[in-house]
Amino acid sequence: MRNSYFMEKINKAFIMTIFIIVSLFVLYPLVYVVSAAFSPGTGIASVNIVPFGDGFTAKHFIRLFTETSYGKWFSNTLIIAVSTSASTVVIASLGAYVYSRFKFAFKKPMLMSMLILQIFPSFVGMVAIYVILLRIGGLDQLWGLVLVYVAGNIPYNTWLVKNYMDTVSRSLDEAARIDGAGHFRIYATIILPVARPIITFLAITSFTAPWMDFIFPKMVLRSVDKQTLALGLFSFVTDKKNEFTTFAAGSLIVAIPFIIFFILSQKVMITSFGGAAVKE
Amino acid sequence: MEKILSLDGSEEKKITITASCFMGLSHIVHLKDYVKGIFFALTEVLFIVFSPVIVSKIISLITLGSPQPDLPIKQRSNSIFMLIDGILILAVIALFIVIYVISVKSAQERYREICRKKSYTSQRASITTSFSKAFPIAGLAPSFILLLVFVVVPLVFSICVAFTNYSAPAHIPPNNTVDWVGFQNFKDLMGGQATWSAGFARVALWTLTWAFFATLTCYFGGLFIAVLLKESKIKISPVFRVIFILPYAVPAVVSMLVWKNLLNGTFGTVNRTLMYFGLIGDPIPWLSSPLLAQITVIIVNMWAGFGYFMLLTMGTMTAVSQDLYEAARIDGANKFQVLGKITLPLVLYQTMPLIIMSFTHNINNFGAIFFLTGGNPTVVDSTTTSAGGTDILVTWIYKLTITLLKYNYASVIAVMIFIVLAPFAIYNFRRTKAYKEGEL
Amino acid sequence: MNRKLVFIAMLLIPAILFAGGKKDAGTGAAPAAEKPVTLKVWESTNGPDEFIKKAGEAFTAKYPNVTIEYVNVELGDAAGQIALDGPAGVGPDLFAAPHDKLGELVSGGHVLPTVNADALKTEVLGACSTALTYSGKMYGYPVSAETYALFYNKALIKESELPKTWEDLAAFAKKFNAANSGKYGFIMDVGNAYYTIVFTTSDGNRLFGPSGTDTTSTNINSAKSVKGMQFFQNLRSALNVPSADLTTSVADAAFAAGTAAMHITGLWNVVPFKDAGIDFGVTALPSLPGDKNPSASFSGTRAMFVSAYSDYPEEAAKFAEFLVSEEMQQLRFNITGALPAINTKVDSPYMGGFLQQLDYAFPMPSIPQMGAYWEAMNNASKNIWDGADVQKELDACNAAILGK
Repeated sequence: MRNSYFMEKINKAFIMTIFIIVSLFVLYPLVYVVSAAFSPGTGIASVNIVPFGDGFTAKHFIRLFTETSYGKWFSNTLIIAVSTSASTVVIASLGAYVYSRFKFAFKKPMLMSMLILQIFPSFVGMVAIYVILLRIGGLDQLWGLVLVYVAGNIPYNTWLVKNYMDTVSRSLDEAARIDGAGHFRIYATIILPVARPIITFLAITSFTAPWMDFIFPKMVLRSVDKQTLALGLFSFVTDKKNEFTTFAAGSLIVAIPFIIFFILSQKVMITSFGGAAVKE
Repeated sequence: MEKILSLDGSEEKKITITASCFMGLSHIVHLKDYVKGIFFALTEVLFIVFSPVIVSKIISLITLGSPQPDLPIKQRSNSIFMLIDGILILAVIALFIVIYVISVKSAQERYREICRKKSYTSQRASITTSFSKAFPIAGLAPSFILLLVFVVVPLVFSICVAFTNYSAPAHIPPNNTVDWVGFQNFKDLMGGQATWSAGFARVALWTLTWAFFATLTCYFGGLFIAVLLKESKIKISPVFRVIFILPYAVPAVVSMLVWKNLLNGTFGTVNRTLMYFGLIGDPIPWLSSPLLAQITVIIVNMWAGFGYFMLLTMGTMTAVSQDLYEAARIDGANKFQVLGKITLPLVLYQTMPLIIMSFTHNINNFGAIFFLTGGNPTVVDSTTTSAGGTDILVTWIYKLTITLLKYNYASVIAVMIFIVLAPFAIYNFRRTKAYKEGEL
Repeated sequence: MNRKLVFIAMLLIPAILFAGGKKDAGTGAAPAAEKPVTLKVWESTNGPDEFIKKAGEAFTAKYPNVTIEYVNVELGDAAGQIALDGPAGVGPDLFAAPHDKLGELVSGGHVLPTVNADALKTEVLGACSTALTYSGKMYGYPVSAETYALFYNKALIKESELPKTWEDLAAFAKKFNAANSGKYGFIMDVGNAYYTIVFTTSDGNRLFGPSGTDTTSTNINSAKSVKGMQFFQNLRSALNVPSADLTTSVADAAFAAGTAAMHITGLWNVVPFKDAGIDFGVTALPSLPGDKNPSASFSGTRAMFVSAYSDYPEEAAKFAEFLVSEEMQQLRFNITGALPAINTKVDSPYMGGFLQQLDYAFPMPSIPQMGAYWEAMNNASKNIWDGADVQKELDACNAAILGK
């Protein structure tokens, strides 16, 4: 009896130690980001080796909002993220529903090619995207960028949602059909709610992805009032300009809502992430 | 002019032929299906109206323009624009063919239906069933078109560029033309020089190694922590859970830049702290020794990625049916046995496709390498190939494209990546349960 | 309702694609000079942007129908971006680019020749107009000249101790490092071909030949160059940091933090170092073993180019000429601290050092092959600094530049 109690205590202490060490590892660079954001210097090397060792100043934050277009960058990026997330959810889930519930020619090759398309690394293809957007008038438009993101999200996410929907029993469909519901009604009112975990997962991941993306906005957007956060913040850390502290401040402002959101929705995320796995 | 159709199913061939001649023809003429017929006919009319444009673009695609030194530059034809437009037009033609096939099939089905019912359907009924039948098409259409335009066309373009000489300094439009060169680029990169082939082999090998270890460490790191969090009876474990998810929540770019500076061998905080406490004598070359840099990259990636897998496996574990645990407990299994023989295998099996997805994602994981090391440190063949010690294939392609403007070589490498990886993906897909059971 | 909408949307998409396909970039003729004209100008941030905006206001005061619109495209990105944006019709009318991109820009057909070139040549510094001449024709309008020089921290090294030769510098650095642990007598961005070129310039050895136009030989692996780079490799003992750790930002930060006594960098760092509170001076570079004069650095001319895709080339050229005027050059100096491209007096304690070095600097070659130089030499410099075989590296570098 006493033995197993003792064992449990050691067990706990051991796990606790592991947790603390991992936490230190995890928090180490983050502490420096925060420290840099509030530190008076400009370059990263001027940040003290001891976090917050040089004192505390909010001047970078003030500068962001008064001297740069940070607010515009933030709102542009927010618009892009929300639109991408909404469109991806609609288009991917609709497509997944069709793949899941209907039989038609070329279904297998189509599914397979969607997966394979992901693999091709397309930097050269960006030139083509540039010209295509030019042709449809989407260059230097936020919606042009959204189109590109959504198209990129489709293959993997359609496949993911389709897998989940496969596990939803057809009897639900049958019952609804007997009641006289058409395809769209079944999709919208029956299947979607049941698939909520995976849809949530989809919404979250496609929302978070565009925030700090640099390469596509650099290619698509031109005007000063269309810049995104990544473009704006990165201009602080080019080779000639070494203003890491301002960069850190700007990134912190982005990270904080994300962190709060993640903390608050942990439970939801865990169940939805669990739904992302293949069900038996 | 209404032809009287025999409704015994014998005239299917006639229907097919008429439908194939002109979209919507058989709908209008034979089947009394006016609305649908007009819709199809209009589409074909639109296509015919635009056909001169279409034909000229196809011609441009083949010739890729000719030098026109007399014209001012604004008016000269641009080879690359021609290439892209040509591919776009091919996509449009493909779309048109798809609609054409749909129209023929629709005519056939309508005919069979009429034969069955022995009477022509009313327009309204026809429209309603059309909409119902159209749902799968409508559902797939946005994905299909988006993919076609923004993924397939750029991909085909990329592959095409591999067979051209689109590169600096002599072949950048519009001042110069770009020409088709067949397999010349492939020969250059693979046969050509020993340094390039050796460099390519080195980068490819490291890419595979990196993807393997990156996925492995993230997954098992996350799994390990998830198991500990679940099994331990520590009351404040939710606090730790929050801490562990932070790297995933903070934008990767920011963390990578910070790590890059922290791990700087000479000026970075990590080494300075270690030396301050006397733990090491000489600075550890985290990012300046090729081998150590590779290990560092994997470790930092694990820092960033284990949170995601922690959440994933936690979710999967909670989804495991409680009955299994009950049964095991009844059979007298202890905690470790339950873990090792039930939980872990189940979780592994259920998340396997995601692991493989993560592997393919890491093969193309640009950000994890680029922002931390930029491909550095340089190695022997870097002077020739521009590929550093930690460069994976995608970051190398980026350098070739953006810095050196050697679009053609970058495309060749991309094509080769694709050729190597595609079988993996196809194999993985075939192995999934749904495919095997044919119940796709 | 919903289904119908979806269906209709599906019908519209091909229509959009069709319509889009027909929309080719139109080529409008330039309107008469009195119509309101907006000129799009590309320039970097952090100084030049303010300058362009102020200059734009001054220009509009003179020519009320012309307004200047500033767009942020960094100096280094402009030459690459014009290749896509120009033909696409979304490019600028005037853009800033360093002169070494000239060959690339001309062979790409992206820029128009300078209007009134001969008149301009009498106004600007000779080095600037030569730098902007390609195949006998002049392109662009120089707005500032620059080179790099030796910065020294007056608190760490006395003016009397300033080394005149690289050997003296190495000796000083070794002594300094030994006496001040944690500080560096000398620091430089060793993996940057912009700076490491100085070690290859012993005894008149120049990249792409004396005039910078010899496309068949880079002279980067000539005997003189190899000797110089071997000296560079030996400098490692005076600055024992691996190349991967010694990036531009790290080196700049070390000098700004007062940890380094000497640094090689350019004008753009004058203001940041002043703001960091360093009391520093600027002098010419030391000379290589065997040479009497300071080693030859790259000199660069920053120029405004008229885009070949512009709808208003005449107005753009007028504005560019305006930027070269004495008044605007002084304004530019006041805002950005950059060396004017014309012969005018500017007030700055640091100018002396830069002007001194400018006498010995040579313009970066501007032939198209120059584009391949940077990446190849960056990597070769890093490898050499880390101890690789100098001859082999420079041979590989030469091969890479000339195109395998």
